[in-house]
Amino acid sequence: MIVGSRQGTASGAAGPPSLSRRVVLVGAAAAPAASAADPLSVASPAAADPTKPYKTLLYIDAKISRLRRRWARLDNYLSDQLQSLPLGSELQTLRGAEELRDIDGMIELLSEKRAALLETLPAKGAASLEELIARLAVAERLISTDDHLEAHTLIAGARQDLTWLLKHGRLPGG
Amino acid sequence: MGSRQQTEGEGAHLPALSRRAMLVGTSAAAAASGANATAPLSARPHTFSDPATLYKHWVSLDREIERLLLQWGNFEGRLMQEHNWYQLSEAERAGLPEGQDFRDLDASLNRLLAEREGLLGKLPTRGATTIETVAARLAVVERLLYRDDHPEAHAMVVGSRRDLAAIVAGRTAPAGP
Repeated sequence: MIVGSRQGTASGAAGPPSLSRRVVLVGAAAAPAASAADPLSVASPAAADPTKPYKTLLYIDAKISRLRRRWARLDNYLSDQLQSLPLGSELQTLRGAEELRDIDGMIELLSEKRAALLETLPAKGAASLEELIARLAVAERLISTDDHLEAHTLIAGARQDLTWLLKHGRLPGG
Repeated sequence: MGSRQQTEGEGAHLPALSRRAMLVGTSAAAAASGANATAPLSARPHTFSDPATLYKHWVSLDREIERLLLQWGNFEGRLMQEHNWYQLSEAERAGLPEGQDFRDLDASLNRLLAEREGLLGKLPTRGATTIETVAARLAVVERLLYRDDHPEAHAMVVGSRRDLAAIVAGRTAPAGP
């Protein structure tokens, strides 16, 4: 491992990973996979949407996960490259070393943002079922399946069932 | 019996906890939830035509275990203090009337722990057709999660269950901001 001890799922790719540094720095919104609008963007009529803070947290969380995967792949690649460098060579000469540090910084920044946002998320008093569903989606994300499989599964099921009930109008008085 | 440390009936996903460790955790959970002890469950019929009843039964089991664990801890402390329990031979323990009560309590706990564990695997994770059932399912999650381990998630689950209860009671609108 080159930079630190960040854990991730290294894919063991043979060549340099495919994302450009610009894409990484701009963030997942610029990546092809991120087709949804960036919830971090400012000022829209949806600002009053009570589900937005929860969705933003999920967005940040997904972005951190993507960056961690990217970091792990790059770290793996650089570790391999390092073996072939002549003794005394600078690490900076490796293509990707700077990007690794950039990703590290991005992850730190986003993790801080995520932690700050998490503190502000309301845990009760949902104004709508949609808000409650968004809240459960966050709770689901907060509990890893490794930590508590049963709780995670029950929360995920509750969220999915509420979504179904809402969609089909199976609500009290509905 | 004696100084048995491992709980029985716990699945592989749960760490092997001593009674004492469970007592500490249970005390914290009880303080956090403000839950009251429930009556013994032995005479309760197990008919679950309503899916929510399964979740409610699991919660009842969990509360009963919590109550018995506290009782077990007090009992053990008294036996140790008054009779130096863990220094006694099996024959000496058998000679104490309280020893039999302690063994009965231990057996009850083991039975309930096994029942709780078995039921947990049978609880439906999907397919609720009413808000009430979803709320009952979240009541299980609320007790499964330790607040100290997952403070934010625990608070969100508790808040969501209460919000659902308010929706069911008609205190808040179920849909649309």
